[in-house]
Amino acid sequence: MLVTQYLFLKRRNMKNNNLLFFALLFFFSSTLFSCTQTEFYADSQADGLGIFSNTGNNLMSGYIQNEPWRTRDRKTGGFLGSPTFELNIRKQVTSGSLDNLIFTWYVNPTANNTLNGDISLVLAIPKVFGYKELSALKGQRVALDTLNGYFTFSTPLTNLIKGTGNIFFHDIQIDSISPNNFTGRMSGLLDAKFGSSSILKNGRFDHNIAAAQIQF
Amino acid sequence: MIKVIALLLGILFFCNCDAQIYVEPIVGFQKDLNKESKLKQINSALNISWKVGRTLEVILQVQRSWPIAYKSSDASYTTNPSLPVYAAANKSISPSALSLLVGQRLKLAGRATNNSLFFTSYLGVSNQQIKVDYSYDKNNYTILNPDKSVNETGLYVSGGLEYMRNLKFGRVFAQLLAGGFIHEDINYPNSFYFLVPLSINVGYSIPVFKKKKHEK
Repeated sequence: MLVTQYLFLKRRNMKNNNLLFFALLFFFSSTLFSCTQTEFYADSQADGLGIFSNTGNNLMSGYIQNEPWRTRDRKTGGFLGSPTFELNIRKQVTSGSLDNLIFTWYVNPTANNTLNGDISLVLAIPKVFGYKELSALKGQRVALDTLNGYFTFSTPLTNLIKGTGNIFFHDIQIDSISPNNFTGRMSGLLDAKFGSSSILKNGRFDHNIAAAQIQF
Repeated sequence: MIKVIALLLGILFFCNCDAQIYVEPIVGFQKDLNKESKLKQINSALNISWKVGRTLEVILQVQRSWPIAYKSSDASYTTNPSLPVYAAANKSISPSALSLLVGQRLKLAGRATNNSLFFTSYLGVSNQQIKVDYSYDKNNYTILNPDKSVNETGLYVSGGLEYMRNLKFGRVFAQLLAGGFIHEDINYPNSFYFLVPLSINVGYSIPVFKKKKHEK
């Protein structure tokens, strides 16, 4: 009887130790190491690009000068580093009659993921433009002619180049979670011509937008 | 694959060589049991069955599932301002399979009559191929959440009930079986999964070696 009781208590103690071990392992692994929140599913119709999706893959990809480019991975910040985002949305207040709404994608060629370039979409918006108006872009295709907006492209190897182009917002929804804090999602297609020669084509994007990515 | 075939042949070698042997062509229809799936197949198989006891038969099966193409459409979009923003992309999904299985047929009822009910089950290797074809304007449009062809080989199991009637020469049977891969999964956000087919089959059992009289 006593032996059985001893074995039972010993086994229960071992079970508790195992639980404690896995709880500590989970805690340390989630705080020390960052996790990738980007899903890349290769498009069988377009070599090197991710599929056009609306499921929150946190990715933009497209061809620049026929070479595949994609955004850097989104990563949660662990104890050893800060989070990285592939997209940033911010409102830029200007002294003119219109403000700017700027979407910036942090991109690299697939063959060189340390180049750290960026592509921006700059939309001219009224001063009263808020997050609710942003959601009204859902389903809209906008041709950017530099008067209503423009694209920019820059890398450490090149100067910033302005361009025209088209963007289609298949989905865009921004919600307020607290004052000055917003989350949302957006997906769509884009193409652009920067300067006289650089062309972005077959661009596609799909993002779940975290609060840290939007500054209004 | 060669090892599996060798194993199956080994199992059959150890079957009673004096047993009644049947050759059984089978045809049928099968429907995918996955939620919301509309995939269907024509089923065909060839069994070699060994009657190793009064209530048990061992079966070697080569099975082929022929695709019935499922046609539907996905959404595709373009940024080209001279084209409609949306166009339907016609899609055809064709699932097929080729399997090599060993099985058993266990008599549940009908020992003294010409009508019998069996529990039948199979285990073996299966190759499932689900081919996706799109028809759309690839130069101008991009498909949202496109499906992709998949091809996978893995362990397959199936089981169900079988009704059999003895004739003057041979036997006829009808079977209702459900099966599926044991653990294979599609690592891509397709609108479909590997099939879990529910099949309704009919077959004819042809005795190829008569039993010796004392064994009856």
